[in-house]
Amino acid sequence: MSAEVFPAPILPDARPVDGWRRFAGEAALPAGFILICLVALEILVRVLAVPEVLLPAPSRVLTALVLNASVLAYHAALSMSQVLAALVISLAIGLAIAVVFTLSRVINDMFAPLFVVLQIVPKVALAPIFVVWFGPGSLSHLGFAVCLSFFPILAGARAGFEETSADAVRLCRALRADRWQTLIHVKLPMALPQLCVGAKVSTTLCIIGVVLGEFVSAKAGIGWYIMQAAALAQTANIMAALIVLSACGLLVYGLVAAGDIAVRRRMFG
Amino acid sequence: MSFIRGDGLRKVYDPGGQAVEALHNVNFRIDKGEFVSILGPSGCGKSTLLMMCAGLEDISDGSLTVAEKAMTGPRDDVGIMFQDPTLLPWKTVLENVLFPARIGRAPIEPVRRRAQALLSSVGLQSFEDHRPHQLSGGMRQRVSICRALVNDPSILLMDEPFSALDAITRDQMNVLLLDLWQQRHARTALFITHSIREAVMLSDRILVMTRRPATIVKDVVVPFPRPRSPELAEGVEFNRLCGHLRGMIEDSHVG
Amino acid sequence: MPEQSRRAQRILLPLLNCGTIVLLWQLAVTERWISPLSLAAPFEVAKVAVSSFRILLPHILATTYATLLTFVLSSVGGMLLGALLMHWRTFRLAVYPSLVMFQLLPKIALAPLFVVWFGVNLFSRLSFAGFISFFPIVLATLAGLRATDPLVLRLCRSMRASASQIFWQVRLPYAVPLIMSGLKVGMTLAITGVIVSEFVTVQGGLGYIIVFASSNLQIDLMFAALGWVSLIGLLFYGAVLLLEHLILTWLGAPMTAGLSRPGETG
Repeated sequence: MSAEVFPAPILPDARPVDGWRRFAGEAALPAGFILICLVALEILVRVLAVPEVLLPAPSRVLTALVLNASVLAYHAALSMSQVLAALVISLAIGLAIAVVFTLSRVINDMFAPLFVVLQIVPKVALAPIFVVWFGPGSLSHLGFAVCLSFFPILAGARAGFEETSADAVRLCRALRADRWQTLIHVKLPMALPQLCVGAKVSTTLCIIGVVLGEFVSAKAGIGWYIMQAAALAQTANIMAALIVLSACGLLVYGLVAAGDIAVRRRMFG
Repeated sequence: MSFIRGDGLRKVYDPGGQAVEALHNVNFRIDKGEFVSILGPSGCGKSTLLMMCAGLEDISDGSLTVAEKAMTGPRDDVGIMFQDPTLLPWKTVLENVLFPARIGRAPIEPVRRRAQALLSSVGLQSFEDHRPHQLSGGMRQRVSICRALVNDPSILLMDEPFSALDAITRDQMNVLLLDLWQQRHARTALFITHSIREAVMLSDRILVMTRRPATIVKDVVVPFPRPRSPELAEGVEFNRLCGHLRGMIEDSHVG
Repeated sequence: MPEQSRRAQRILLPLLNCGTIVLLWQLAVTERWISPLSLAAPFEVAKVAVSSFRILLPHILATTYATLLTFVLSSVGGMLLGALLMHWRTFRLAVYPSLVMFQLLPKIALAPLFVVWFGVNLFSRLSFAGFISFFPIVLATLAGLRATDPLVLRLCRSMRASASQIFWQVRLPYAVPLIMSGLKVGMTLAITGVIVSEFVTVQGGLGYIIVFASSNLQIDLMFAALGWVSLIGLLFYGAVLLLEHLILTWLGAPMTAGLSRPGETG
């Protein structure tokens, strides 16, 4: 049993410049390898005259990317705004349910197994239902993405609440804190790390939910763009869109990860 | 007039249908202002007894009264220290000491002054804004003492608070506790330990507890006058008493 | 005794709750509180599930078959690749970063690409689902094989054990918990991949039925298909759990990493 409730967070004590330099050094090798691969691929595709439908040369993909930049940006922005909205809603819902479960043992016993059962349904299969419920617009994508992604947040928050050190809870009982005080002062701050882990998983699922929703039915968005390009067998455009999607996904994930680090710094110094 | 009084206390745990009797017929009296240690081997139920006095464990049988009232749950006038300092890592040292007051929704300003005075008396006045992870184990336990004392409790319960510390720090903490204790005599204290020397140094009386099902077999008065100082531990009388207690413990645990 | 009544509470309450929800659900649709176009009444769904069983059967079998094949291929392939990456350093240095990069890509978005490449057929569905479920298995196998206690490895070196002995008798058993959790993720992704590809290829399988039913607003058929999908998912996941249980019983060791099942707090 550690002498404090959490192990000390590992904070880098090197100066930021040194950190960047080290990162650049470590990234050089795989980056170089990828660059070599791309060049090799380019050469291979040209020499073997691989049909563009199958595998477009990296230069073609780059051209497609540049030519369609504004269109891609528009659709990507549309999709990502839905992703962010879904993330916020999932956080709210997941956290709220976890709080209710923690405050009331009876409700916890009644409903928690229900959520376990719901986990068994392959939730991707629910995408068309959201279209039936909310029509073919972005609301159905939002709903579907929330449905996919609030489970990890619920699981993370519950795990965080459960794992609160028994000593801290006992201290609260000795001080005669009521359930609400215990929650706000002790359980909630202590659950934040687990919640952040859940949020990261949830981000990935939000992206999948929105894109999948757009596959099933949409009039705009990056998923819709990919479907259109696929219908026209424009592989280069598909790949360009995938690159944009990955970049945006990384951006959002990076935002959430940064938020995680900021929360930890603020709370634990 | 006993302040804390236990009669025929019994505690039975029932994990999955197998009844385990942790405490059996425990009888004791503690007067107001007394410092009493409970001495016994690990796992014998000393902590259970302390938890019962804190109102954190139910009593299976017997009666426990504090200030002539039966014990039903946690009380306002009790300060408690666990083996683990249990500081909240996101709060500063001062905020950790103020935690009981915040929970009790008391007006903060007078408590803040008292908290700062307490931190000062344990030598942590320049660490008020530090976080727990920046402190050593001994420093964290000092913060824990301040938190236990911040509401000026009439009863102080301590569950092996110094067991996790190294020997040198432990001796320093004993001295510190003695100092704090001797400043205010109206406080009653119940202290759990498995260190004989610690018990003799700190207490007015020592209750020796057996293994499970635990009961109190010996009630030994520690005759040294207060205020006590660390040099006491080198004296002949002190060591004779320690030896005597060691013999008692061995006898009561043979077989 | 409070302990027993708590146990009873934990079993009875969810059952009671379940029953109440199903009843309310049935009432809500019968009494038109919720339009039957949104939510199918549970009894209707059950009726349709039975009456249209003949029609659904080939699709049920198609999805089951696709999932099974996908899982077998991606788990075997994934474990092999993981083992290969473990032992061949150059290969690992070259390939591992790309693997990690691939994990960053939302692979589901590749579904239409697989249709462009391989057309609308079973092979395209299998390759997409296999592609998705393959990665976590590779990474988990690799992580598992590297997770061997270094002190045990040192012991093996002192006994001059051969690489093959170390692999089969030490590394692999230690890797079981992580590989198992990778297989569980891979299983979930296999069925996800199959369903998504059936959405996109709209040729056959339960995914096709769901899309078809939704466009015809046949909600009860849709829910029936969903029920079958859940059942398949449950069966396959249960099979993986059974496999895990058998392996761990055979190993006889109480390894705890990655073993938590839903509902257990370990």
